[in-house]
Parts: sequence; C-alpha cells; structure tokens
Amino acid sequence: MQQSLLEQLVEALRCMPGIGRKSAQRIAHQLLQRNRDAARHLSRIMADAMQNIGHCERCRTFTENSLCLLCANSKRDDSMLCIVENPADVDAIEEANYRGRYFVLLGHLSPLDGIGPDDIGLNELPKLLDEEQLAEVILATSSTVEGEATAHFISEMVKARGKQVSRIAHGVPMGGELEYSNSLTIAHALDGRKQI
Amino acid sequence: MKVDLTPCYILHSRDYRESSLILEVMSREYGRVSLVAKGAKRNKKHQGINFNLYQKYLMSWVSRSELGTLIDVEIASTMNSMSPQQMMTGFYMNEIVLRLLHKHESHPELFDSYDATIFELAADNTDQALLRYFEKILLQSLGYGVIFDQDQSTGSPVVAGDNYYYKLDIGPCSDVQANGIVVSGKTLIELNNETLLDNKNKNEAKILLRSLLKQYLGDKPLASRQLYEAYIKNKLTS
Repeated sequence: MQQSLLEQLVEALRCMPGIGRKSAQRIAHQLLQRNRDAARHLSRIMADAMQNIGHCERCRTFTENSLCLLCANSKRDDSMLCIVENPADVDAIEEANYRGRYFVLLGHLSPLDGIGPDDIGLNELPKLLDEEQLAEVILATSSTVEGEATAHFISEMVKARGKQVSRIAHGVPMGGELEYSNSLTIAHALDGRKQI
Repeated sequence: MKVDLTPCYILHSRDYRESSLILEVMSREYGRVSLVAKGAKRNKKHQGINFNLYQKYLMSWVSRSELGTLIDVEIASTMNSMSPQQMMTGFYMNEIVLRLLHKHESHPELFDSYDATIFELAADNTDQALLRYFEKILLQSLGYGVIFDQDQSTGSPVVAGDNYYYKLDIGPCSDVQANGIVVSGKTLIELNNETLLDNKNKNEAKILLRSLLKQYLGDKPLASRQLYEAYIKNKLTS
C-alpha cells in the first residue's frame, strides 16, 4: 500500500539526528498547521545546500565555494595551522580568538571502524605542511585514545619537516573544581602543569 | 540481569544518538557485552568520567536484551598515557578479541592476561613476547586447544634441542612427513612457559601464532595491522 504524503514527510524527517517517530510527527503537524512558509523556505535551502555544499579544497571543511571563508581570508595568520576532527570544532576554536589556519580531518584514526590515514585526509595534509610560511601546527584532536593516536601520527609528519608541533592542553576545565574531577583528568592536568 | 561494579575494559565505542555511546566491553566475570552509556558525551551523568580504551573501569549495568544499559561506572586504576606504538598494539589486541570472542562467554584468564599486557604496555615495555603470550592465552581461552608442549607424533614431551613441524590443526609433530611450520622445541617450550628470551625464538613464535590466529580470523585483513604498517611507513618516509 502506498504511504500518504504526510506519512512520507514524517518518515523523511526521521533522518535528522535525535528525531524519533513521535518528534517527527510533531514537527510535521506543526509545520503544516502553522508555519508552511518557513517549511517551504527550509525545503528550498535544504535542497540547495545538499546540492551545492562540498568540501573546501584546502581545509576540507564544508563550503559551497572551492575555498571556505576562513581559507579565502588573506588576513589570517599563515604561520599557524590548527588540526581538528570536525567542522564544529572549527567554530568552537574560532570563538576562542584563534586567528590561524585550519585543517579538518572529518574523523579520527579508528582501525576498528575501518578508518585509516587516507580516510581522514592525511594524504592531502603534506601540501599544507610544506608551505613555507607555516611555522607551527596545533593538534586539537579529542583526548580519546583514537584522538591521541591521530595526533601522534600527524606529529611525525610535521616533525619530519622541521616545523613546530604542539598539542592542546587537557585537564581540569575552567571553573572546574578538583574535588569533582576524576583521577584520570587530574593525572593529565598534573602531567601538563606549567610554571607560573 | 543486574551486574554490580565488575572489572571491565572498553574494546571499542561508537556514537549513539545525540550524546550517548555504545560500548563494546570485555568484563572479567561476564565476558564481552554491549552497553549503552546514556549521556556519556555530555560528560555529566557519570561524574565527568571519560570512556577510554586501555583504562580499567568498574561498571554496573542492567540488561534485559542483547544490549545492556550502563548505570554506574568508576575508574579502577589510573593509567599513564601510552606511546603511539603501544596504542597501535592495543588496537590490535582489541581487534582480535572483538573478532574472536563471542558475547557473554566469561574468560577471567583472558581478561587477566589483557589487563597484565595493557599494564606492561602503559609502562612502556616494548618486548614483543608480551603480545605472543596474550595471543596464546586468547587461543587457549577460546577453546581451540592449541598444544605447544607435546609431540603429537609420539606423544612424548617437546624437547628443547629438536625441531618440530607444527600442523595448525594438530600441534607440533617430530615426524618429517608432517609438513607443517618449522619451529624449534625451545620456542615451543618457552612460549608455553612464557619465558621467550631470544629474538630468534620470538620471531618463530610470532610466525606460528600469526598462522594459528589466521585460521580463525579468516581472510579479512586486520585493520589495526594495516594502520600499524601505515604508521611505520609514515614514520620512515616523512
């Protein structure tokens, strides 16, 4: 039996993360009842975005142009390259006033998921590392074992080119209290202590 | 079933929904289990505990089906960070355990061997024999009945000075007709007693165990081995 259009809409909405059957139904009803214009707009933008957004040729983040806005910006500091796992990490680091360049891995090394060096774009990284202005690479992969393994893998590539490589600090969060931190976090924080 | 704070290692984790993880766990008492850690990525629910590989935890969970729900977790021992090479070794251990160990089969001796090997790796012990002993215990735990100490042609104990032909489905044979992997008696005895010392014997043990494991792992290549090879190549060429 063929599904009604409404059923198809509910089914289609479920592709979004965190949206189950009930939520999809609620969204569909709400849009149909009260907000058809916004929904039409959403569908246009959605189609346009899915058609046109690809990856930046330099840093691999999402963009509809060949270069993303950050890579195209000539005022950015070419001497620093920050390597992150996800496009969302770029936004987070932007908010922290970093003004250098980025490279987005779109994942991390995870042999058990079949993700190897080429799957996270490490075959494209050497051409950025070879750029003359580049002085320092900052590894901002997550502090999981896979993130660490990824960072080590990249650090070998950077060191071989005689450039500086650093890893972002891990430990007690700002405003965090030691009493409520776990021993692993504190061990990390102690390891990475610095002189004041 | 409800399980209270039992020793566990995470072999693999993957994202589930917005902020949860599905953990593939090896527990000492209950074998391999899959657990949902709800809200694990939001880091609030479980007292800010991160779920990491190579870290021993005490976990509590309830399970009504194949997939259990993690309800409590504590860190069982603090571990120092590992060198990249040791991390890759750990990936290999996790991959062979995940590929060979069936769910809900308890193997305390395998857990203890994993625990001891991880401890040595974290202490930066680079002796490759560690991995051989782990592989040996994995094969023995899984009930494949691998034999290292008895000549299967004559039934007498393996002698250090002799060479043997190891037939994968039978064991070491002194009979020349046996046509198996050539391995010295010394290697077999040292592997059995976990006292491998010389590189020559270690290499023999490596070839033997690799062939034994391959029988059960099948033809699908090990992703962790490929990553290790890529890592070494990257280190050498860059």
